[in-house]
Amino acid sequence: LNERRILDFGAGDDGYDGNFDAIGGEQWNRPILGVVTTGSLTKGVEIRLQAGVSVETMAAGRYVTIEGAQSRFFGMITDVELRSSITEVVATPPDDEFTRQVLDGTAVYAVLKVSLMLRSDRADSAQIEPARTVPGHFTTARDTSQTEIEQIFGSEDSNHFLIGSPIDMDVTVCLDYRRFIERSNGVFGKTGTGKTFLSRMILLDLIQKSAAQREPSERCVNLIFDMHNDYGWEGQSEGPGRRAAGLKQLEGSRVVLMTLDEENARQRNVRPDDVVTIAYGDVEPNDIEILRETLNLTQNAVEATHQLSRQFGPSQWLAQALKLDENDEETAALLNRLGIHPSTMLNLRRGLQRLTRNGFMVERSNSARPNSLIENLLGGRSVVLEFGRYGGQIASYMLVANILTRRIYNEYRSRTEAARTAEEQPNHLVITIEEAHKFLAPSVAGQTIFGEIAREMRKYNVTLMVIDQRPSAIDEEVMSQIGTRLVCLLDNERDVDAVLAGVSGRSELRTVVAKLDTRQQALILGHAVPMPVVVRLRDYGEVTRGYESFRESITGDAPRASDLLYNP
Amino acid sequence: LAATLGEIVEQATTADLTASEMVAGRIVAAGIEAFDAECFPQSAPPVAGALVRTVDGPVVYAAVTSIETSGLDPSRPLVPHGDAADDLDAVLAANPHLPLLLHTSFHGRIVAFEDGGATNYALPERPPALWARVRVCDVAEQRQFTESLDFLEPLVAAASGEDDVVAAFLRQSSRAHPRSTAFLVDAGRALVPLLSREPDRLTAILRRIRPATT
Repeated sequence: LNERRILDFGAGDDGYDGNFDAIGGEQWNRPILGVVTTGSLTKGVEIRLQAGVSVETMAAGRYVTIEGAQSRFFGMITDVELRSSITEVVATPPDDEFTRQVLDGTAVYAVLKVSLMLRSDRADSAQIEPARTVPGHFTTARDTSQTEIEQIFGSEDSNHFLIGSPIDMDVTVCLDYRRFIERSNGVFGKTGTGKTFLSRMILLDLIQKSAAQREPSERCVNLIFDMHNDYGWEGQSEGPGRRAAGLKQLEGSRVVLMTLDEENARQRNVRPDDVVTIAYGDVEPNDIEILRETLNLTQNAVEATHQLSRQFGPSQWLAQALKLDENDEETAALLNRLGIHPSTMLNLRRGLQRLTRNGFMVERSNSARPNSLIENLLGGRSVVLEFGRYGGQIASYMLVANILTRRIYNEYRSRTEAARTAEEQPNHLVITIEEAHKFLAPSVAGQTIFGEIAREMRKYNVTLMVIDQRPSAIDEEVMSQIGTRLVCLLDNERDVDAVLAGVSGRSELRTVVAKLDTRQQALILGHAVPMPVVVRLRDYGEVTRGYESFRESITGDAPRASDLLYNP
Repeated sequence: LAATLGEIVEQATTADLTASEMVAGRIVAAGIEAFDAECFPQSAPPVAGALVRTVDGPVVYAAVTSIETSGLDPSRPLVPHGDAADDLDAVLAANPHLPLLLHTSFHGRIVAFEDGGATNYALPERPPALWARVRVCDVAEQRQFTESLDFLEPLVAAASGEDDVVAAFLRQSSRAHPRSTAFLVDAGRALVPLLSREPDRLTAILRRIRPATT
């Protein structure tokens, strides 16, 4: 029956399409791709491609709609396979066009493997829900229409921001703003796949959508630990000499630009709003613990920091530790009493000196407004902290990010706990960190504040946006708490496994991740999207053009982020 | 019968025959699967692979699968006339009685019957009438008959081992369609599932029906 049915369609029998047109609706005007022949809910369904439909246009990641009798199913192509129903014809391939034409779609055919994501009732206004069953045999599959995509992903409004277009479709998909900030998020991908570009775009959108919220409790601010000075004033873009506009340039007073390295900022002709310093007293033994490997410290040296902290007090221990001279008799006696071996002390001091040599480390905070960072965040302004030259040192980056985040987190926690009404709660905070696996590795995730934020999630209105190229190095428990994942190309199998951990149909999605383009494409899945979507980001070159034209036409109106980045 | 089947097929044309000329013969033996018919002396015999139908009694459609010309009296074997230098025309001129000693018969494999005005692509419940006249279908009839590819199933089933007949039938039918190559492609595609267990037959038929230009 199956064979005959496909033949009927394949023979170009216009009668069928005519009948479908009579049934009406946009969905019927799209050509049939094929029919469901087999499948399961867990492994997805197989669609036999009908004759005349080019298999070459069926990219992994593309959406299809399957029209069941009562339901409409939405799925994603995860694999494409060539098959033959008559093995002999494959063993002796035809040498003429006529026979090829006859056999194509009959004796040899292509099969689409489709992972089912969502279903809705056939009525247009019906609720969309996760697919819990499969369409029946011989139900027909078509390309998903623009209307359906909009129905699924929502169209751009105060709660949805545009992220890109699905592969091979001229329609846009949106992320749900509220759901996005509700949980921690991750941007993953190997170097050079556009993580920074994607993150910058999302941050810009978050800032703008936040400003569009009526309810203060729906607003969010961003704190970006900008390792390579990519987000603040301007960032690297593709191609030599290309610069992409940063958040401060585009958003003005909504963004505060801070730096750890004033001199470097001056060299880059960037005028920061404030300079951040870290006082010795801000450093806790726990901060040293997470830097153990980076600073090449022994476990004993780490233990010693706790001893010293107890001895000298949390605000004095670092300054005192640097002054200790183990050749001094009194000191030797003290170390002996604390059980710290002189060689341990030597190891520790060397490590600590590596930290304190940095210009942003000061013995006493001389800033007039030590809490300017927190004040800005609580005041509704996003903060980009540029690391200048220190971004190259992972130890500095981790130390600063950890200390500042802990301070902010404590402030947020106490304010959230003290708040009696929703209005009194601090606005939502999204902290962006790069090289996240260093903070969230299984060995240190327990000690860093980031591990805690990721695990405790939104209890205190603070969530993370982690940007990373080695997701497999991130603690599994933390990974499982990442709500929305934006995955650029990853080719290491363990990394692919890590980003897809806990996702249904992940073995199918693996193919999709591995086949992403090296640039401008990302698979988005999780909390802020109803179903996984492969998004094509716009051309990188357009970003700079967009920025140039934006600069020329600065007006009172706030254009939306994607316009600023893309459209001249 | 020196001509090969292929050549006979190539000669096939029914377009310029009148209705009475298209009457090819009369049924002398009938079953539900096939019939034998004797040609009228004045009628041209049908070609192999031609679509024929009964004129009298219940209508059945058949594909001509074999044609045979032999002596009327089986007890008197035919002898060669003339010598090596005489061509066929010379022999017939010298022996004008010879055609009167011959008869031509053909075999039709039934592939459809008419049932209440509609064509049913299956074997009939009863055989066609004995002594019913049989005629060759014209182009319009052949096109109408092959509009649906359902005829293929009884045809390949009936003509098992007679792939040349199937191929000849398809080639003649394709000439009745305005887009003959497209018709052959569609017919070929419809053959694939029917012959999926007999790939050798499938490729044999496809080889015979593919247009010469490809």
